[in-house]
Amino acid sequence: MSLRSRAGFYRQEINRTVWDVPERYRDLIQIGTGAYGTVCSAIDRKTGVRVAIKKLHRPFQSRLFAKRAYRELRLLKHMKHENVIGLLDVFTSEILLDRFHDFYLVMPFMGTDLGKLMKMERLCEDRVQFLVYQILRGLKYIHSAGIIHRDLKPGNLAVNQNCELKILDFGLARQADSEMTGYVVTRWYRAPEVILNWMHYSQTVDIWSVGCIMAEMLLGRTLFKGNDHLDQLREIMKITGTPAPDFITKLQSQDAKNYIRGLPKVPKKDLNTIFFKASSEAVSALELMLVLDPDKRVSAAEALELPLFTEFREPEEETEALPYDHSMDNTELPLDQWKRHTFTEILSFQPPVTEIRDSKETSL
Amino acid sequence: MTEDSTVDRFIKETSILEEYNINWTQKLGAGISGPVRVCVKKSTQERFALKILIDRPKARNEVRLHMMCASHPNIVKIMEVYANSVQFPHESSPRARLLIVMEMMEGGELFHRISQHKHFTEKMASQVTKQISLALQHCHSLNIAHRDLKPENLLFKDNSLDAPVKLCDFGFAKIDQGDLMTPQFTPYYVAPQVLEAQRRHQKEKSGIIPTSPTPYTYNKSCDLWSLGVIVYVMLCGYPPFYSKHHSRTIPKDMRKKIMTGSFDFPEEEWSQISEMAKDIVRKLLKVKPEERLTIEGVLAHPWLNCTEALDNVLPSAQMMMDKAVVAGIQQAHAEQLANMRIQDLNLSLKPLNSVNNPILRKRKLLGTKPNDELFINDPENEVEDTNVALEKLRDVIAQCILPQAGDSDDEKLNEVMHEAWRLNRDCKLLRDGLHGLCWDGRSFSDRVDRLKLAEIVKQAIEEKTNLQDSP
Repeated sequence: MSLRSRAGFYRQEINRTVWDVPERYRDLIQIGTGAYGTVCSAIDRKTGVRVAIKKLHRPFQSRLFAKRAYRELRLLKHMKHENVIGLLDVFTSEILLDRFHDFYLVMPFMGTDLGKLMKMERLCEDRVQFLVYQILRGLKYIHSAGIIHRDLKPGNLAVNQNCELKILDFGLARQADSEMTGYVVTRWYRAPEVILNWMHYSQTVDIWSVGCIMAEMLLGRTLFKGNDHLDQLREIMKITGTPAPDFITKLQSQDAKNYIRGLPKVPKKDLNTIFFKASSEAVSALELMLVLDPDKRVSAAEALELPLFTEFREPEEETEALPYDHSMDNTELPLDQWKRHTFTEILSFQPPVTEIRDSKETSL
Repeated sequence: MTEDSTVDRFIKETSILEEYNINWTQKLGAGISGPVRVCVKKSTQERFALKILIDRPKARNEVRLHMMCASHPNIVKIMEVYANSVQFPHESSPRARLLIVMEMMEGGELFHRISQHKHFTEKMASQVTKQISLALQHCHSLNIAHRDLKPENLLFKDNSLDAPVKLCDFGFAKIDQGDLMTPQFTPYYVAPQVLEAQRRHQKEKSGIIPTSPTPYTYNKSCDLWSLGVIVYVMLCGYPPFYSKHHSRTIPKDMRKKIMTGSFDFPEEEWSQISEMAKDIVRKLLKVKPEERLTIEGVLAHPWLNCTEALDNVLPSAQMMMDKAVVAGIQQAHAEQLANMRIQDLNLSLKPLNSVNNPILRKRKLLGTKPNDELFINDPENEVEDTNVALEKLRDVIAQCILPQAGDSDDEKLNEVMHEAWRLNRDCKLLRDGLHGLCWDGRSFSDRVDRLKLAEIVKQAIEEKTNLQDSP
């Protein structure tokens, strides 16, 4: 299609991908690409700020893809918090449903992520405190909506120069087992109950990940770096020690019980010996996060109350979300239905209102 | 044994001069990260290549990725790595540096080697391609994209006819697990057989044949594009996307040709070259990464596995005797590689006292904390801050010693202690002592023994004073 289908849009090819975007977004530069989409940075001429625009790769090529695209859009629309990535805009250049094939998600541009940042510089403890505070603040919000992230890792934590942190890519499709295989980063931040499928897991799987990430920021290296499932568990237990009998009783899998009981007894390691340069408040926080038993792990809301974050926190601003409606997640619909629902969600999108924020600023 | 521990343990802190003599004036070449010199092992008199990098996270990353790959016979070996302070003649003081001892590659760069070979045949080109491909396969199997695959980074071990070619310089290499905001369940983590099973599953479920994206990520696929260019040049002596009539300069329309993927096989040079060779080039120089051959596809290609003679002499050796031609080829390739790499944004965090961060800004507007609170750790005011910090500690002692006049004394003590705490949090002795007295960062949650508190603060002052006096 060589002609523009809609006034106010223009067409541009970027790294062999066609982008149809509104006139307000200019100076597109590709900043990332993956199997499911491409991301460009752009200048929003209405606000003057730089944004990230994500174009999904053929979102309606199959029912599975369409459902996933729909879920991602709905989750992003639901998230309205400083420390969680949310939508500034969502658009498609098509007006009619039957010509609707592509859509674009507009989000704040953050510049880098925590994984890249940790490769570039060593973080001092007050920065670690502030960044972890923001992760927990965002997590409290996400968890209060009834959503579990499941895959927190440094690459999913976007950061900008002003030390603003936002959680990305959360609550999407359940990971396939195959992603756990081999030498992959994502497993290093997984809670033990997820790695070995010990039990139905809860929101505290994300707290385990926060503990791993915080430890890495303090140490300058990955804390639990396993080569496979069992090696990952061994690495974890070198530090947490082997679990207590009451925890083993909780396991639902008989295989897991037998395996754990067969392990040689390992005592818990004193985290102070590992994090000897860190403050005692930081070590205390890690002790509460890196607990093998998910029931005994601290929650995000509880973690925010720890002494480590006293300097930064303001409890009234640690807000909670409206509940997220999960009912569509387990629904099986034909491809066309998912497409229609997605189109409807795009049309019903309301951009965040900047005026209200300005008013709040003034009233403060 | 974890990977990072391996790398750091491998890096020696002893002086490299204990085991090696370094020839500071003889440069073998310049990698993207710095020049390469000759060094000689004292105990064996063996010659090695020495690469010197400023010790920073990026350099350590280069070493780590190179070491992860270096066990392959077609990748340059790392023998040892030293972390030493080195001062070059033009520098005013020593700097922390990494000194990487690598195997000596004495057979020269790929294109130079070809130009020395009067009868470079298609069979030889195929054999070289196979070795490069095996090196790439090794990297990609570890989820590492090299991202700087070019003729200058392909070196021959020695001058013998059957010398292996090896890949070097991991200055742009990166672990390739997708980029910022890549969605979940990215299939490039998945082994091909699992991908195939998933494709079958999707097909059954949706009733259509999906065209799933390639499991290769963009960065790895760039390596395959580079390979395609190298093979093309090896076979004919000039680059694709290129007009023969402008052979001594890079044509202005080259970029357009690259973007549209328009190249051909001019009759004069290509009529004697096999159809199999043309096929592999076509499949590597696809514009869309998802259409490009994977490294497994390359290694399975007939051109690398045929038993035919392929003894036709290629025109490339003759062409590459012209140094200007070779330089032009290399420049064009390097430029295209730079364009294709997705630049990492090397962003660093501002100090907390100067960030324009909405959370911290609200703290100021609310007035719940003093403004100067954010100047903790400001290095420019370090000396002044130290004195103020000590003064605050002395205030605490004064408050403890003063007679208790009424109920507001506890409040006053909390206030004075909090002031001192803000400026002295870095003191471990104070931190631990206060922890024992139920200090929560703002106030004492229990009634405090003032004499005990005064003693703790006194020790903290003594420790700080000693630290101040010692340097």
